[in-house]
Amino acid sequence: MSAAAIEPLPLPPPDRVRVIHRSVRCFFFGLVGAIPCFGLGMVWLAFKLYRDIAAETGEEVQLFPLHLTSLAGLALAASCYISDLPDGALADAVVLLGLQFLFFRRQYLKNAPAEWNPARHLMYWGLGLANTGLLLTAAVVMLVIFSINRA
Amino acid sequence: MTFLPIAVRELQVSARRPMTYYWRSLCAANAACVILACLLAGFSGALSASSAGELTFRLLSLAGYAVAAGAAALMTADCISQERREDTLGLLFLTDLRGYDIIVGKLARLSVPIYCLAAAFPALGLTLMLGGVSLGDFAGVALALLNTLFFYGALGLLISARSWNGATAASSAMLAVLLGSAPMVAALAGLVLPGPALAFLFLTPAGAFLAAVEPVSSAVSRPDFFWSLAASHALGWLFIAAASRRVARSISSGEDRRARAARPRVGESNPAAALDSRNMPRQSWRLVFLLAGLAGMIVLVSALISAAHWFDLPTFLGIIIGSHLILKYCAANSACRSLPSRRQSGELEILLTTPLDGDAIISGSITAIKRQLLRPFLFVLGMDGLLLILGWCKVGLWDGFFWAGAVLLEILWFMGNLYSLTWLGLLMGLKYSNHAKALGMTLFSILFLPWSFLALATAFVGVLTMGRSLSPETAFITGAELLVALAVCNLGFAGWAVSELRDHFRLLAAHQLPPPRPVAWPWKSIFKKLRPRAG
Repeated sequence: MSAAAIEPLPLPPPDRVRVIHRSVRCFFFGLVGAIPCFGLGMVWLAFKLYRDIAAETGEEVQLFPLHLTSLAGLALAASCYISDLPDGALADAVVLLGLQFLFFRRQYLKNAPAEWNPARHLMYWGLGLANTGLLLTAAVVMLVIFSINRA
Repeated sequence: MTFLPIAVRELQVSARRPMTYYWRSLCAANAACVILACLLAGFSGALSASSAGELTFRLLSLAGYAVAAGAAALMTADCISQERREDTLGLLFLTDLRGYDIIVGKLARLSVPIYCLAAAFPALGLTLMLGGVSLGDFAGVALALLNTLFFYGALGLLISARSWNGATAASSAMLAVLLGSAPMVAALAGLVLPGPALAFLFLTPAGAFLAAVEPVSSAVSRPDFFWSLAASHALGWLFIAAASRRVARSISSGEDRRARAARPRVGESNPAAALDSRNMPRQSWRLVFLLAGLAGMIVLVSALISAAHWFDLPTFLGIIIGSHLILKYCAANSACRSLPSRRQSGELEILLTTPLDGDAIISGSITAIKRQLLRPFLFVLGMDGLLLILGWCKVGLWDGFFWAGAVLLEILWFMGNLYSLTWLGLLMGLKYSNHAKALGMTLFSILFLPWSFLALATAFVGVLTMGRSLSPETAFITGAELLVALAVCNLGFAGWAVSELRDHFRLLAAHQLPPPRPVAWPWKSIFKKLRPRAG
């Protein structure tokens, strides 16, 4: 028998109550994680919970475009700020947040899990808030670095 | 037969453990950051080269003493008592092993702090180049730190050999460290030590350390370095001999008589809380008396240091911070022992067979801890309020606002720490079978890690500014960094503990937690996508 003929084992049925609890907790962690700098620990936990829930419900984790747009957007904002274009940096931040909102919406609609999770929307809200907190933290750190160097 | 087989095994195990390398790297990074911060302060003109060297040397030496004494006491305090509780000590004596084999083997656990000290010594040696420090000072401090590690390790083993309860052993060892270091702290604060206190200092490793770290020209009262080093080292060997003798005699598992005699409270709504709330009123009153004694002792020491200025803000601040630290330690200690002690006695297994779920058991434990610490907590809050008012009266109306703000911030931080320590302590208690290890990890994560982050962040800001200026803005940024580090550690660890306990309580209780999945770093997903696919 070839290796291709071996079908992957089905996932064990998830504990739905636990998945709902975790999704609610992911939302709460994301909410606290949205506070720039102070919520960094919670951002980490929100992303970790998202991965755990996705593994449990059989949902594919696709965070590559999110990280790529974050990096590109932050680099663009930094270059705008260095070139004395604060409006450009602000516009870039708005576009970045809009793009990421669209990404999460598309992910939520298209990337259906194998197991139904009634609190899935809360998990995505938590993830979005945590990501916003991460971006705001990066922005604050960049601002501090630039202001120190200018002083 | 191999010479000291348990020591060889312990050394091999610790050498292969990844955490050994992480701890060592963390120590080296922290020492390098302190050096960098002082160097940059020297560049900015705030310090001269020799005073920067001397200041760095003192800072690193004191941090090294605290780490060496605390780590040695915590790592050895529960190693024999744990074997006794688990009934494995008798099995060891069925082989050819002797008491000293076991004791020296357990002492080999201290290889990790030795590696950490060795990693920090090169940074300490850099102060030789800065000036103000001689080679003799450096060698003296290095010797004194290693002796401190040995002395408190031996004392921890003796305490462990005489104990059955892990929490009691860890608390006794920490108390011994505090008592042993108190004369040194008093001498550094400028107090002229009377004869008995100097004799006590002579017998502890703090005496040799004080003699090494303080220049001869200073007016600090201290014993002779070599004689103090020899006396405390000999005392350490006496502790080892006593522990070896004791461990060979008491291999039977003496069950805690108080635990056997205690009965659960009747009429409690949560059975888990009822089981946990035995012996509590007596313990909580004892803690209140201890806190009152600490306040009295700080006032006495302040009056001895300066009879005219003892009624001032530093004394009040010492009382506030000291009482907070003691209560934080008690919260972490109670949390770390709450669930493991029930697992050991079989109560947890029985509770898990009932309709109670994990959340109910955890909330029962937290209720019991709250009940245990309620009286001391109210006492501390009352004392804080009184000191806040006294301080306000002392400094006047307008300056008093700053004092009140600082005290209120400290109280808020204290409450946040109590919450985080309780949750993380419950998790660590279930994760680690050794009580002292669980307690050490809890205290390190919540109380010490933020300072480590602060050292890294200060060095980062220093490198950015290249030490051009120590402006008020830089001080503000450093203060903000400390607040951020405190918030991240408290929120992050508390959230992690809540999440783990709620999700995997049964697995944690049964010691069957699956190995953690590899961490998915964001850049890994990016590089994975960007990598060209074969074929």
